[in-house]
Amino acid sequence: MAQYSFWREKWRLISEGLFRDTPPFFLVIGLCPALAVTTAAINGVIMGIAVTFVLMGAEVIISLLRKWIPRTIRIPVYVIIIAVLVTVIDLVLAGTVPAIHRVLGIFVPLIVVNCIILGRVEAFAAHNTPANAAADALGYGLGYMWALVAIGSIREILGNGTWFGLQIFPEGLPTVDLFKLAPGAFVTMAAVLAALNVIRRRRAPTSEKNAAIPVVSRNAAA
Amino acid sequence: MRNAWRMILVLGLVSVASGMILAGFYGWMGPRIEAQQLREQFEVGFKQIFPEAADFKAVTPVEPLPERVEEPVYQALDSSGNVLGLVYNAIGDGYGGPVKVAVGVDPDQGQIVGLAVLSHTETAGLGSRIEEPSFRDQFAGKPVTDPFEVGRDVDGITAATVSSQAVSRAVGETARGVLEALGYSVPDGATHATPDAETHATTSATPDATSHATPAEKAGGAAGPSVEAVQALFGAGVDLGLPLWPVWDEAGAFQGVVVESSADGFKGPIRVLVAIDPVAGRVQGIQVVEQNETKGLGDKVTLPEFTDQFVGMPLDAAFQVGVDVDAVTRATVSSKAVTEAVAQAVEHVKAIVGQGR
Repeated sequence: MAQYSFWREKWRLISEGLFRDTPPFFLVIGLCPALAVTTAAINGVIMGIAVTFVLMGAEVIISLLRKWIPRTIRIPVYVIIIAVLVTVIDLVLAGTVPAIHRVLGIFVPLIVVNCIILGRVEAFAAHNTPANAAADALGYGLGYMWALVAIGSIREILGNGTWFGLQIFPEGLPTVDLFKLAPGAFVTMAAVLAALNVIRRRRAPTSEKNAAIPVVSRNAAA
Repeated sequence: MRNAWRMILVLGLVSVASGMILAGFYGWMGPRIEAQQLREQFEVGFKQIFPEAADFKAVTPVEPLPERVEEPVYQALDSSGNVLGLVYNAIGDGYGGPVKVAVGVDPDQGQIVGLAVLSHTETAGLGSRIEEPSFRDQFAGKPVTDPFEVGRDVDGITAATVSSQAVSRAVGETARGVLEALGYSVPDGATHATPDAETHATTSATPDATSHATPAEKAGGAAGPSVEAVQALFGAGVDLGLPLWPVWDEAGAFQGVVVESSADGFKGPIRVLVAIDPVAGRVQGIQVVEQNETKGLGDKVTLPEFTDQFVGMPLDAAFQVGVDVDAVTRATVSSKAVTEAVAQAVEHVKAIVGQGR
């Protein structure tokens, strides 16, 4: 029975980041890389893996150290730990799998400035056990990944006529170049957010449906 | 106070530990990364030039290498140890930053074997086309004594002249120097006596012969005194300047001067009339009277959108594209030529006015 509730607890934590609070969509954080790298679906996968990795490392380490870090200097300590993790991963990738490192390119160093990492570390890992922190990291990392893949897919299909490099539309069919460029990222992001808000409102109980604040802003405010 | 010490201690420990971890990983991965980069340079860059090469060995130059060359210079060896040629990295000044090319040279023939673009930050779709074989391959087999000038012996990429120039200069300004620095004698082919002679041969054969002529000859169409006549009056050491006409209004008041000036554009000289008001110390306006630039790109320098920006510019302005003159998109060379012609005219008028004072 104890075993059952342990895994139940972990799944609750994972699903929170994965579905309920998916970072770019429902928390509207981590937007810079979400908009910058999502020109293709595959970039979303790679960025998602890298973020999950760093998030996992940072959350577990900080959760382990949480009792020794004085509150007043927690942010600099977190930043140092995150930066070290990112640099280590960057070095290891460059030294062992240069081909993958070349594809990742700028994405890896970008993770340092991804506010999801610092956000989850501050909001969760600093007050929870390492196991829970790992579950939280997994949920938010994978949630971030599917969000990026979703945006990347829309942009790749509309902008390039392909999905994960596979031709979706027949060759020669006109594509909307806008979606490959930065403004296309904003348009896609706005459209996805609007669609998700509509869906959430339909499914929410009547009392919440009448709430004046839209779902996204309420989550951001929280 | 105890709290402060604790903060210092924790932050210090975290920093020291981080530094140690990073140093450890760097010590472990650093040599691997360097080896990877070197191998990548050999495999991706140098093998494009010498596909049959098995090994690359650094060689020591006898004399200092030319400026743009990155040390060391390598010998390309095949599997039985025969020297296939030399290969080295050179840096060119591209549009978006440095352009790094690997250049392969055959020291016996004094020819370029080929080149590979290793890294660049040129505009995607325009300048980035320097990577394409259609551009790179034209360098193979060229004698190192060639001028390597875009528009003369090197075909530039349309709308990416600066990038094309970056590559051809990186090759042209280094190939001969590298051979000489390594102690090879550079064969002066019969047709390529010196780079200078080659340039002159090309220019005189083409219609843009005026581009290397004296300023007086550049004036071309303007009817003026012969140089001989002027030298008879002023002495042998003088030359005619740019043609210049004073401008008066109907009432006989001095309005300014018009100077005819020219500079080398993308396809031959561009002639510009520059109206200058030396009293007010500013440019009245310019008109491009003759050009042969690419249709739809370079020929846009004749449009008011470009020329109007010179109107009213003070004579002590920089007259530099990117500083106070906006270039026509994808026509940097043409824009620079017009700007240079205007700058020349302005210098001229400033010199005359300065002496009058």
